[in-house]
Amino acid sequence: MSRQWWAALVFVAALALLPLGASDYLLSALTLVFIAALVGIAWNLMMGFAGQLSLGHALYFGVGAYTVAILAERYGVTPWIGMGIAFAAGAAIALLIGALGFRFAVRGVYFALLTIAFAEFGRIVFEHWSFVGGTGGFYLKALSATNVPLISLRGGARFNYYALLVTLTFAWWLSVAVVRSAIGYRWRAIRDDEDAARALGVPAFRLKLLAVALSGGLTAIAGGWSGLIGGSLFPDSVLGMRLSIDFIVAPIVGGIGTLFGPILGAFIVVPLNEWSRELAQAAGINGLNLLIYGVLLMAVIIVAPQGGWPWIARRLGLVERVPCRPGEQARNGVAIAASDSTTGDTHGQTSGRTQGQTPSRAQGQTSDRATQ
Amino acid sequence: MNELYVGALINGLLIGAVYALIATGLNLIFGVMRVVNFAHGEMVVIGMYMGYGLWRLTGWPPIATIPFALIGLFAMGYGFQRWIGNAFVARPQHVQFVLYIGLALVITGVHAVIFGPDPMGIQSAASFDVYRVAGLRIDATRLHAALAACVLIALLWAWLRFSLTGKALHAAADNLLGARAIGIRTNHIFALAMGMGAACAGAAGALLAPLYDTQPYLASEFTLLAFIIVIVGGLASLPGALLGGVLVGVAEAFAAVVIEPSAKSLFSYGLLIIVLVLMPQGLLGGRQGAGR
Amino acid sequence: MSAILQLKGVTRRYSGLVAVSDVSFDIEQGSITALIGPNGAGKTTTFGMIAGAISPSAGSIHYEGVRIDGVAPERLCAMGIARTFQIVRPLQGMSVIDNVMIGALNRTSNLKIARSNALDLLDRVGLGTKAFEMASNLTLPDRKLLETAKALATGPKLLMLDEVMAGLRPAEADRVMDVLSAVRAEGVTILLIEHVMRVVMAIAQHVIVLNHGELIARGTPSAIVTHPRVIESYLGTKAIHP
Repeated sequence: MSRQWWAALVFVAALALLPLGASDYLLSALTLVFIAALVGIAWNLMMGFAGQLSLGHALYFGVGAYTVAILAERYGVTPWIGMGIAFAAGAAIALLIGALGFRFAVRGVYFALLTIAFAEFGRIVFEHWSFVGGTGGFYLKALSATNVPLISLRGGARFNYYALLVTLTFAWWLSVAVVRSAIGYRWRAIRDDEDAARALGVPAFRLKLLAVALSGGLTAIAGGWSGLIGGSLFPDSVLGMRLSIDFIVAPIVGGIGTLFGPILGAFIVVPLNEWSRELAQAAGINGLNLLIYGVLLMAVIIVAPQGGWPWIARRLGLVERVPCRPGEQARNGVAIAASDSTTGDTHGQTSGRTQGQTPSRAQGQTSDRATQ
Repeated sequence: MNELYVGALINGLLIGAVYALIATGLNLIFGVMRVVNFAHGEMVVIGMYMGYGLWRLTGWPPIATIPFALIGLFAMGYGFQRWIGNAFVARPQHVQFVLYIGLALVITGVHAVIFGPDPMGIQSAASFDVYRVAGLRIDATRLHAALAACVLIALLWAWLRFSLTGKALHAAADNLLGARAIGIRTNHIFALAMGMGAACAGAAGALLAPLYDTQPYLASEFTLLAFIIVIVGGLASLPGALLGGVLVGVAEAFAAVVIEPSAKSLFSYGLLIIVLVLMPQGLLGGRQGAGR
Repeated sequence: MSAILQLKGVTRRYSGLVAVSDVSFDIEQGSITALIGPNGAGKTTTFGMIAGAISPSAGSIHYEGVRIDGVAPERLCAMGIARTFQIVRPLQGMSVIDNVMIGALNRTSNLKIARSNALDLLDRVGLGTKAFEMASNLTLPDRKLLETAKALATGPKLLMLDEVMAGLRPAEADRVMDVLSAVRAEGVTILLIEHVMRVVMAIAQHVIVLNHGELIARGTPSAIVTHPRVIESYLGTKAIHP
């Protein structure tokens, strides 16, 4: 096992033991972190690895939340099945948006804005849809005395904490497996240069659809948990633009295109957000939280535009150095190799993009003209 | 019934002109730097508070705020871009997004801290003025706002077309490398583009102040509105912003009549999705792709 | 001798401008053919049409008897057509070996096999020592070599190289030529756009000359260099009629 796996194992073990000595308040707060990390992992699969920027992940989250909650409340479907249906629903909507966008070559900023449009469209539809409660919201019944958490998937702070820890661990493991497979390699090729990747035989359309479907599905599961834990759903709070933005901030702050970045980012961003909110409430000044959060966000992105994980990984020596062939010395930080380029390549990626920006833009313009 | 639709059409056209001014600013910024200004709606709201503030202090109509809004937001946009934003022009898009989203949150936060979360409306006798033309009632405030927006857009176009600096902006938008090669100071040009874009948003805000109740959290709606317009019209296309603004204005006005006012953006999002799928570059885009 | 690739009346227009006009030619199985012509002659556009990046406005392209114009580039790659880009396009966020592995994954989905194939190829083109560097850190000549290695890794039957020798030092160019000759000996057909006439004369059996989007001459290298229209297109009319 590599150092990375050991680090992950120690981390999960520590989190698993934490409830022994932690308050319910802390556990609830960490549960929020896990949800953000889960969505961050999902979003990062699509953006950090397949290079497709989504600014509308709240849509999948909200659809997942409503699906699980409504199935449980109205039809008595256990959330065990509800989660599966939520995954399918999130994946299906993501596939629809992806298929529309990719088939008609909606790329880059345009694709990002298309995702916003669908998310806002979805929010407005939910607000005017009486079946789901409209703007008035949808509520889950209070837990009965005979409630069995493992059946209803609803329980106290400790149950929620473990449920999310397990889900998060599973999602993380899934993302590692996919990213390190041939699919992950090909995703990164698409991210770096889609046309060049296609010329090398990468079926970009199918692989991009796979990325958005997986991402949408996982996000829907996060939404499902969030609904079960919160007990009440409002279109504005589970489908709103603000939520989409919060979702992307954590993985960017943690470092996109890395396996640990979204988790680290969630551990930074969610407490910051909560802390500034509490501070504003304590001070009784509306909007102070936004001010603090915004300033911190700008500070983080100015200081560490590549995100926190690459920075930390280098210092902890967690950047894996794969044994090279005899006579070769891989240079630390740059020459990360192949069996795990996922942590290391962010340095290269960002520096590469920064250096290559102007020429590639000029090049992009020429080729755009040529294809008109 | 018929009159209802004609009224909606006229209202849509008028408000569309103001929307076009907002979108023109966003397009200018995107055209020159390839940066999406996520704080655009927030800048509009700054203009709205300026309009509201001036009315509270002096009783002048908000339209008189335009010079202050232009200068104030130009200075703010220029300064921000020059000292902070320029380092991000060459960075990946998601990193830029976070910076401007941060700026947006800060502006909204400042608004909420200073003015509080409650809506503030301008009540004056002038808001009931109407012109009667051929049996139609045209809201005077809207008409004035639309005319002012058109004048500002025309001035901006003329400046871009005929002044040397405007031409430099064009050159930078068309070919950044080439612009650098002929000695255009891109740092200044970028800041200028952001300043002009912000000024457009601010002026539009001043015009909207008597039409909407000003509120800090209105901003994200305006940002999204501006996104819709520029995509419908075509990112980086100035005539596209005008066309998009008017189309979206009319679509919203009709939606408010046909469905209900709270669902008015449903029409514009629908319009956006259709346009994006059928013509990814927007109706008048196609000059160049946004690239990745 | 059969033709692996046939172009018939291939034309590409860009809003009024004709980049490639009514070009027809066959490429023989197992040959090395050079596509030459002055700048703007339509060589790269022709390449793009064969590789599926650009759709022809008119005409047809057949590969192994199957019509392929309008087929997506990734399908063509799976069918055995590989191309390099004139303006090199390394996958900047990945290491050199990962770049080549992307090509190798066209033939196998096993990462281990893909990796060892990629390493072999990098050794072959002379990039073996740089396998674990980031592609974005390579010099331009190395990027050209990387382009070639990536294309070769896909296991092509028809290999299309767009000016891969430009900017290489003579020793490097010789190395690439050796690789190409060896690849050809394995039965791969090669079509290359090349400005370096030394290369064309040394390895091509056939030369096709484009000028202003039209095919103006074809033949063996030695016949081409004395062809009056070719000299005219390169040097201007006055060279012939002083």
